Amino acid sequence: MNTGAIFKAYDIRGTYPDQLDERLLRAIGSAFATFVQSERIVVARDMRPSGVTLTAAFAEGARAVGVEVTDLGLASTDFLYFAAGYEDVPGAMFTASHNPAQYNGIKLCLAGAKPVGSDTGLVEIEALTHHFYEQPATGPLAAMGEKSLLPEWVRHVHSFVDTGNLRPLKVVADTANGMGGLIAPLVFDGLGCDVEILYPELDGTFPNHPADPIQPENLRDLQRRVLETGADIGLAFDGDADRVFLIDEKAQPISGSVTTAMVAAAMLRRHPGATILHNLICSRVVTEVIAEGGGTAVRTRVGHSYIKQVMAETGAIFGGEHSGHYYYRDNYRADSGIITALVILELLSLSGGTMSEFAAPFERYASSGEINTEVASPAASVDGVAELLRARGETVDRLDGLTAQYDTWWFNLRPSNTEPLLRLNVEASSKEELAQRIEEVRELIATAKGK
Amino acid sequence: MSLDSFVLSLIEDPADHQVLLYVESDSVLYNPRTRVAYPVKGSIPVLLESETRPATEDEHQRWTQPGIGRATGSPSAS
Repeated sequence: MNTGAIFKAYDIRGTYPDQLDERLLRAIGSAFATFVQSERIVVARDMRPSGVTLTAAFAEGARAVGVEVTDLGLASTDFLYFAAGYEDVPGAMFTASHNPAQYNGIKLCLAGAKPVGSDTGLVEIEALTHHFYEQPATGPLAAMGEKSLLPEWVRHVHSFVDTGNLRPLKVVADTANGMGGLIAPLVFDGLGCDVEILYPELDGTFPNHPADPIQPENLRDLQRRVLETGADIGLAFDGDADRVFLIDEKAQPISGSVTTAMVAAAMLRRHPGATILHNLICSRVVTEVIAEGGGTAVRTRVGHSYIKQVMAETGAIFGGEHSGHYYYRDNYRADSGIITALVILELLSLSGGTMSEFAAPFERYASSGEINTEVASPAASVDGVAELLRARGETVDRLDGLTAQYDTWWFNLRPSNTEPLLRLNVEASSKEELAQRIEEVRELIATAKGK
Repeated sequence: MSLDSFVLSLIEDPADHQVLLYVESDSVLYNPRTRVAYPVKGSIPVLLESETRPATEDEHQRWTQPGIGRATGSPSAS
């Protein structure tokens, strides 16, 4: 059994049934239940066809080491994190997020929705999995029950805004046949907005388009619908609905950085002087907005387990990532697409203007987005570029990959954790400068490779 | 003559590579982001920067009303 390919930095992910099968899932269930040392855990799953089988196998493995399992049924990932916080028990969410239909996986968390990543338990769980794979747990099965916490979840999401502030906005939400199709109608019901859901049917084969809204081609249907219906805003959720991306009324996508900045500004009005986190790929506008609002900005590596950990250490009220993950202290420091959507709807309502007018003050820089390049050795490429920069006497920041900062632009180059890919992000003062800087960095990468 | 669905499905704004609104009654393909209109001459969309004109505020308001324009591009699943 080779688990190296499926135990990732933040979760477990692989194809069914060749990489993830019932025997392995039973072993992971026993391993997780042993690791967390809790009397009970909660489990939930997204709409992928393999979810029922894999959840059942995992639950049996947990029950076989004496841990009770509560099945929350179909859910979004942010709902599972809420349940783990609300019930104060560890949780396991069966999802492969935006990955294609043949994939499935597990996002794990501890009681209180505390993260589990490679630095915070996943390595130990992987080792225990090997043990239980060879020697399956055979104890009497602990109890298994079902529970619905959806009404509590909806009340919790609503608590992040004053619902009385909401204007009767026209909203189009593309849930991409993912779990947003279950969650969004429940959350928006009765709020006075006219909400149209695109692709609401839960279908893990993703028949309309991949459920990955960070890819511009997956926003096309939403953009078309927003324009045709004269909607005030478009919301694009990913497969397990923990991420959301925004489209303004002109069908212009709004980046995760700008969304982070908008929410950060609002949070600072409610909580003056608060600490707010952002990952190092976020635009400079985020740090500027936090400073302008009198807050303290803390920069972190990419990835939810780092963000959650640093939020706990710093007492931060909010954290954002360029990838559409937005984390809230009052959501057990977990990220939520639907909470963010509702916060933005309230901000748009209070602004009295259009979404593009509201976003304009935050659109200060031109960004490349994430440019992925396949290379044989991503880590060596990053090191090579770092060497070149140091040889020029430049300061190189190695918090995550490498970041180089200049007066009018910056770039970050980091290796993918899971694929032979180099991820490049560049931001500059204008589109023209951006195009020039991207070429400069590409030349640096090529030079480093040739040395 | 109007543009048919097949032609519309192939069109995007050549400048920002995003969706346009086809307003048949005024024979324009409109980009509400840049507030620029491309003419449609007969059944030919003229997607040339040199042929564009800026929309007036009244036109922008009218063309972005629900149900007035048809979005270009095709649904992902088709």
